[in-house]
Amino acid sequence: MSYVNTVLGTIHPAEMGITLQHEHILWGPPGWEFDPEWWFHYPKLFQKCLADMREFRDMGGRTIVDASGINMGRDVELYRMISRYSGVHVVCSTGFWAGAGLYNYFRDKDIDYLENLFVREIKVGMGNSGAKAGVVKVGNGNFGFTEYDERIHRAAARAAKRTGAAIITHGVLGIRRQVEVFEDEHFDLSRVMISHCSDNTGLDLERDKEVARKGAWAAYDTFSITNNWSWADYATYDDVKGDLVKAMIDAGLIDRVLISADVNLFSLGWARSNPYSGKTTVADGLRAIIGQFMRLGLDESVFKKIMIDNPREVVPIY
Amino acid sequence: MTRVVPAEWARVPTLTGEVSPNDLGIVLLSENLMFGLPGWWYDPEVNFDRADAFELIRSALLDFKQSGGGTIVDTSGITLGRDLTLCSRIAKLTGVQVVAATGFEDENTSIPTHFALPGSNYFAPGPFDPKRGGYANSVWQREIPGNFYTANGGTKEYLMFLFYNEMTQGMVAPGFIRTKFKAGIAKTGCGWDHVNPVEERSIRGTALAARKAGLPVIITCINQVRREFELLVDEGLEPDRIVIGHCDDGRAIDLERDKEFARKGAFIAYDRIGWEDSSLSYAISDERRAEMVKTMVEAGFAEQIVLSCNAVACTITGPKCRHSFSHILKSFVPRLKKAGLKDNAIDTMLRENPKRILTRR
Repeated sequence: MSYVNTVLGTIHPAEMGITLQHEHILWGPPGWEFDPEWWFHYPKLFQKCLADMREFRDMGGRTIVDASGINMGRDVELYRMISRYSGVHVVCSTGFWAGAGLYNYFRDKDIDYLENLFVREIKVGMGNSGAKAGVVKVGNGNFGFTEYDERIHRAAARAAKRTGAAIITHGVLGIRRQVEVFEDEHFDLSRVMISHCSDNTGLDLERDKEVARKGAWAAYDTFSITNNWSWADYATYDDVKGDLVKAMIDAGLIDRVLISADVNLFSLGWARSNPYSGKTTVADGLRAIIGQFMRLGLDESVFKKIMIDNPREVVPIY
Repeated sequence: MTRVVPAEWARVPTLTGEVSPNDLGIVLLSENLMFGLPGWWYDPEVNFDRADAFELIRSALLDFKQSGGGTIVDTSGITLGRDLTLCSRIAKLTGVQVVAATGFEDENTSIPTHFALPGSNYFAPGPFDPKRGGYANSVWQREIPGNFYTANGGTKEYLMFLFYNEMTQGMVAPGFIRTKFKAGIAKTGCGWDHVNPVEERSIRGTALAARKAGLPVIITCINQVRREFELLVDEGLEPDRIVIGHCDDGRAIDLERDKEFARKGAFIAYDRIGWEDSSLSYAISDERRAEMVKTMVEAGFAEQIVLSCNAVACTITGPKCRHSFSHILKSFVPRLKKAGLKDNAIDTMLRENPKRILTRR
């Protein structure tokens, strides 16, 4: 029987409902806690994140997958509170955002160690919180596919194989290399969500089709991160992303498309009020997605397929 | 060139309050009360018990005190296991004066990603520099693909303020706390093979902050000492404010180099005393260290040498330390005496030199 590990315990996949499969409640590279410039008032953060999640719930959203991973801001105690008081299921991820985001302690660890760490977080719990991770996050930075990146990808593949969890990736420029490593590890690509296919620094529809035909999921997950307000080079207009999704549907790959918004409800140590991140919320993401479906004239069955059925197929642990 | 400062300002900040340099007693200049690579707290398998840690550090400090010691400089720096709320309590209990350090070492062990990612500087442009066509670091860093992470971690000035605030306002402790304890020394370092751009920023920032606050800097990577020294001096730090640590690292022993830097005015620290475990690449025998110290003293460099044992009272991660802070007084000093060193030379190395180093100016 498949099930989903949320921060408040396991749920049945049928309970997932409308799901955003690549979001961050908190996100920030490790080390900001030593930098008083970036300290904040925790209750305000809680209030902000809770309000955003409640808005998402009011719009019909039911589940988010938090893809922050270890040491990238994942705060399980906070997530549990937010989940409990907003009614949104929060699926946490184990794994690491990218090799460039490893805290110093993890940089000299080998693949076996990392594999066991990920498995422990899925089977036993994250830290001492008792809450279990539901997916494995892994990725490469924008500076090439480093040795660290390769190490965490292999560990993620092995841990996911052992536990039956799915993998979420990061890093559009390394997608081909990621797929290579997963294939090399004989990992079932239908359990991989290839993220950031809508990242403006690496748009490539043919690559997405190729990846999807191999069985992996192509995730267009930056809806609402647009040039209208964001200076980030990964931002692009939502219409571009909508057209990509339409093209994938037209190519008959609707079974392999995922949509999400990749927002940070709060960015740790890097954004504050700057235009690089943090201005949109999960509710904004859902609004932008619905807007695109209306613009493209896609009917409700397509929406349900992509926003409910597809995540329900890939996110649970088998 | 020595700046004259008011006697009050010259007082040394410790975890039990500021003390006069004359009251420091015997000083070990490079020790770790606690050591762990940052991020260990995310590993559920690391078994850290705060009460155990307290007891380990307390007994090590008591032992040091009873063998005649006065002050310990904890060079963990910002990220490598500095816990001031814990250590200040222990310092008070044992009566050992503890001076804590700010700063980072090499990127791999101690500079977390937050401080290492290049900054976009959209809100904090660098200094206006017409040669670079405007605000330094404001445009060209944006051109690096994917560079959108930190708003302003990427300049030496940013790190200077980080370190300088730790020296003048108070050091940071876990739990979003800025304590009232000020740093009394800065440490800096780099990777074994080269100084990478992140480490260069950190070294330059350390030099700027130390010069501004009148504090010394201890270098922790002996293999790149020339480059580190060059960078520190380039930012205006005077050579006699620089302590060159780990000169007895087994992989890079060179007495001629030590003499050269001593002649420039820098202090030479033989600070791995007690690390004799032959499985560690940097360990050598204490006998050999005693010979080195003797050679240097006989060559007339007693005033430029400091001794320390780089012991770790509570190891969270890393190789276990088999000796304690009292090792120098109990074992190494008798060895030096046996080798024929005069008491006043030993006194200079253990009391006078650290006092000159730690006195703010």
